[in-house]
Amino acid sequence: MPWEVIIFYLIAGVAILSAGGVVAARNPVHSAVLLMVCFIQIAAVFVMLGAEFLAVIQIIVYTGAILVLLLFVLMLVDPEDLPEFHTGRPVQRAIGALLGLILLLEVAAAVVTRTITGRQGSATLENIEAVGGNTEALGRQIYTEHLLAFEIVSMVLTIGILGAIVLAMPERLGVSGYRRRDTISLGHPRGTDLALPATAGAPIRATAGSKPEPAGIGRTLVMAGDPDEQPVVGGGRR
Amino acid sequence: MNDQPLWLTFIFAFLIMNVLLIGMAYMTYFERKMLGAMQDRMGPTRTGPKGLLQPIADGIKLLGKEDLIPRAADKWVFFFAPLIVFVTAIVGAAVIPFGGTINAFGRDLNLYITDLNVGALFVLAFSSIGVYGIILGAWASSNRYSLLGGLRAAAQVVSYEIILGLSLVGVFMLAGSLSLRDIMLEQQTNLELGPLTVKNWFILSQPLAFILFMIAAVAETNRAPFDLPEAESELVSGFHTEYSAFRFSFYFLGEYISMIVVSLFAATLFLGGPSGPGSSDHWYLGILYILIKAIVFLFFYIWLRATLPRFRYDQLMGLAWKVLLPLVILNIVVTAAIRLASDGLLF
Amino acid sequence: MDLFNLNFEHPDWALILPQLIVFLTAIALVLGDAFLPERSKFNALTGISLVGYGAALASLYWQRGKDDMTFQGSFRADGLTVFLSLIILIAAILSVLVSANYIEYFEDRVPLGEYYILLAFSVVGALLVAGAGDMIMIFIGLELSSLATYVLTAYARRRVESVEGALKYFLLGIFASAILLYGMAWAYGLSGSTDLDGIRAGISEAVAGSDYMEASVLLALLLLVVGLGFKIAAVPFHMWTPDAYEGAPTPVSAYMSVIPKAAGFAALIRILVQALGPLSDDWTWLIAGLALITMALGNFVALSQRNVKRMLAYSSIAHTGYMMVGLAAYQDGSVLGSQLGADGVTALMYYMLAYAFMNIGAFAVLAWLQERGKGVMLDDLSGLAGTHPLAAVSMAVFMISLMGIPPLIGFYAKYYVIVAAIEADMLWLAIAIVLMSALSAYFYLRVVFVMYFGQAPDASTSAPARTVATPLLNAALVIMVVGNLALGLFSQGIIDLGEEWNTALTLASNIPGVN
Repeated sequence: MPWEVIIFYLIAGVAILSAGGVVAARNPVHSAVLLMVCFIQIAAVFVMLGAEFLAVIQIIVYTGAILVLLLFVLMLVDPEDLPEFHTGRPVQRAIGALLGLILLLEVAAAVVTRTITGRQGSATLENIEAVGGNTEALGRQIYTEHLLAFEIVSMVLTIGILGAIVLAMPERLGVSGYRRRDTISLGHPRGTDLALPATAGAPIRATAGSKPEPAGIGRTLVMAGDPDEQPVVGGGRR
Repeated sequence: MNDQPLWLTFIFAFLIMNVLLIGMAYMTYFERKMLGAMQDRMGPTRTGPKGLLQPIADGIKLLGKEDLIPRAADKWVFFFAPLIVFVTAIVGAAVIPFGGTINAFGRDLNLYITDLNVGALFVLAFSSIGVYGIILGAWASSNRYSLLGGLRAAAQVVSYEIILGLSLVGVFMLAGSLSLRDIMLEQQTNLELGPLTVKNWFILSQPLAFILFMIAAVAETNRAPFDLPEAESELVSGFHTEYSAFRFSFYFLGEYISMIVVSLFAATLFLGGPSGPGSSDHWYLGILYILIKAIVFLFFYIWLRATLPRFRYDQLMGLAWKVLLPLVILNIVVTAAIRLASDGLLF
Repeated sequence: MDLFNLNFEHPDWALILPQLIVFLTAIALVLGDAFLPERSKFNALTGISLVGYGAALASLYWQRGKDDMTFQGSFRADGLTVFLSLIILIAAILSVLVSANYIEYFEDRVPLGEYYILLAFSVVGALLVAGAGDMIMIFIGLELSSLATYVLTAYARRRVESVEGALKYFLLGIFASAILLYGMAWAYGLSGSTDLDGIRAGISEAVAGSDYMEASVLLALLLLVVGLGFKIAAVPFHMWTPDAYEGAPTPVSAYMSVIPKAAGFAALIRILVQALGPLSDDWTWLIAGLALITMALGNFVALSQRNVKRMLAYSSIAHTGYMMVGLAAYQDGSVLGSQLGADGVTALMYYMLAYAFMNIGAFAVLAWLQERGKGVMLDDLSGLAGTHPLAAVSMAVFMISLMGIPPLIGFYAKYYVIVAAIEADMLWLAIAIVLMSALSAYFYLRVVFVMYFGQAPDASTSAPARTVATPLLNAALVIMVVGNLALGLFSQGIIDLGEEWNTALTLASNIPGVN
């Protein structure tokens, strides 16, 4: 028994430290790595609670999919391009820290002084053992008691996909026969971050009928025009 | 299943790990010999009889090389990224059953390290963590080729992991368990096919899932023809361009070990693991069978590499999302319907 | 419901009929968007939406008087569900009517069928919150509703303000969802159930006999109120509102000023009244305080707005404050299912229905003007009575109704809320409403003043007005003007329907183990 307690505190300690590191790290990629560590610790806590299925799903979904996609985006961002990342706004940061502290104290007070324990649910160790294990118990719960919620979640996911498509769809893809253009080029030095000289020979050429560059974002994206109309850059190719 | 003392498990795990490492070394030898044969040349011949010592010489050479760290690299991430690949590749082997429980040396011994009730998902989970090693290593090198390789790896692995996971759902539904040991035991039952009586290997009842699994597994391990993250003709050598010597060898080890683990995994899931003629009486035959099955898969990997040209990136993504994903969902629906119908619950 | 129970009850589909119809409408829209011919697609999708919502509205007729649950208690069909669904569906129909031409014409954007799909899923989410019997259902319904609304806010993504508003809405919204979820986790920990009636039973067992509040109960309550406060845009959780309303395309502003707010209030009623009713002595004060600062800040800031959309955003915050007064006037009856103290919630729901007619109307006039090439600043309305007299009349009706002048619907809404507040011994809140209404007269009447007495822009210098036919929008304007005039005078029937919400509490008394 004491071994389990020691291991739990070890896991919890690493989880808390890495969660703190997520906030404190100056580089977003480091934050993501520490978040990965934190997720894995949480999975370990699930294992200690006997919820192996949840632990594995936590790793597959959060660590293996969501965080990978997050990293995918972060890798393309140079932290120096984030002007307000960890700098400036001292008042807001102080207020944020204060509010966080208050919430922490509140939660601590609630945990320490709690006397209400709530009624015991049906997911006791004996019941779980009787249906054949944690995974089976979870499956039965989801497909009977929470069936409606489970089905609605599929709608939420559909909306997520649809929303992403609506927001990211090229402006005029709906018109058939329209060629794709204005793709973001990764081939530019420093990726997409530098403004291009607006002289001739720049890889973008506002072709007739194409929309003007999006203004007001602060950073100019390098747009490669229609490949067929692309002026030869650097010579030699094509 | 019976409980055995922890130290026995540790010994068995130690054995497995070393077998994997040696197996990995000779996997490279096997690959080079096979590629040589397919390309009508000799492969390694000089070091030792028939070049058998070549992997060991390569290992020593790698360890002796200079360890280069780019000045702009993010040192910590650069250091531990290869370890992630290596460790996660090896851990997957922990749930592969090489047989049941045997009686040897006067004790009951389990021929598996551990029997998790979510064993199959455990393998998937660790293979999904493995991609961090690639992405982080690529990012930390601060090299454009590496970064592109890493980006490709991220997108590719996330896409094909879905196929990999969903292709197993049919197997899970038939076996009624996520434990690899239960899946293995389920496949030792007999199946009556008219006059024939065969073992209930899931390749027979889930052929589509098997094919999809193999495609996704090749992509998941970044092997040809899905080796875009390290496409040497366009990205120098992709995510490990800046890695050398010892750290490079970890990537190398990780890739080959994960191939071996995936092969063992496939053998367990679809080809009955250690089942075969006489395996119920002699446990060593079971181990032999599962190794042979794994080697067949490994040969398949090499064969693919020697045969197929590399995919273009949009083809890769199109294949995953437009072809494989609908097929794998179809497989789940059909399997579920058949399973329900056989229980009399459909309609 | 124990784990051994594999006797899965087949769901009673009749109970969930309106939700099911809207869901099928959404599916039909997805398929229609994919397969209908390009040319007539958009009109067809408008038609499908209208027919779907109309059918769901009609099906509510058979839902009336039901008092049952299905899906193992996840879904409740009771008086509360019926009335909230009524509000949401009416608002949805009005939103579609307002949207139809706007989406087609504005900003040269190709009309995308996705607009209606997102709208439909958002409506499904709100309807599911209205009938939720379970904390999990409330959360998922709210998320479904909000996620679609975030995307709709960014629908005019060529305008930076649209994207900015959507981003603020999204970031604060998901943050609020996390807080809400944390509160739900605490409520679950305290009662051992995610079921609303189960929580009620557990909480009343736990707090029975003690008159001081435990820190853990207070924490759960606060987290829940804060999380839902974001969704209904109560001060001080309103920061996203002006930017999101201003940035979003005008029909979307109209939509999100009503339906997500209705979903948020539905969740508040379900959680606070149905689940945490035993704590009502404590949370009514919390809600009353929030209501006061909400209406005060909304009205004071609205005074200085020159942008009419932004002014309407602040006015919607103020109206949130008035509605919350209805909730604050709730008193948990000692006998479950009794009528005592229920007037507040009835008044709140009547207010929401009235608000749908007033506020969507005001945004509809703005959309009508935008389609004719005008802006949304106060100056753009100058002299409207001369150029577009009918639009000016309807705008005047909506403004006066929002202000609360009899015999328009806005007056009756405020009247019922004030009566409920007085009955609940919250005279100070009733006085606050009256004072704030007087204050709001300034900015509402300023719009009317500018329209009727302002100088019309010189026709020769201003850009030639576009002439477009907007039949559906015109129809919507007529419906809403008539609604504003008529629904107030015939409000007794609506109030009677609203009072049936109390059946939401009767099922709880049938649960074994509840005293």
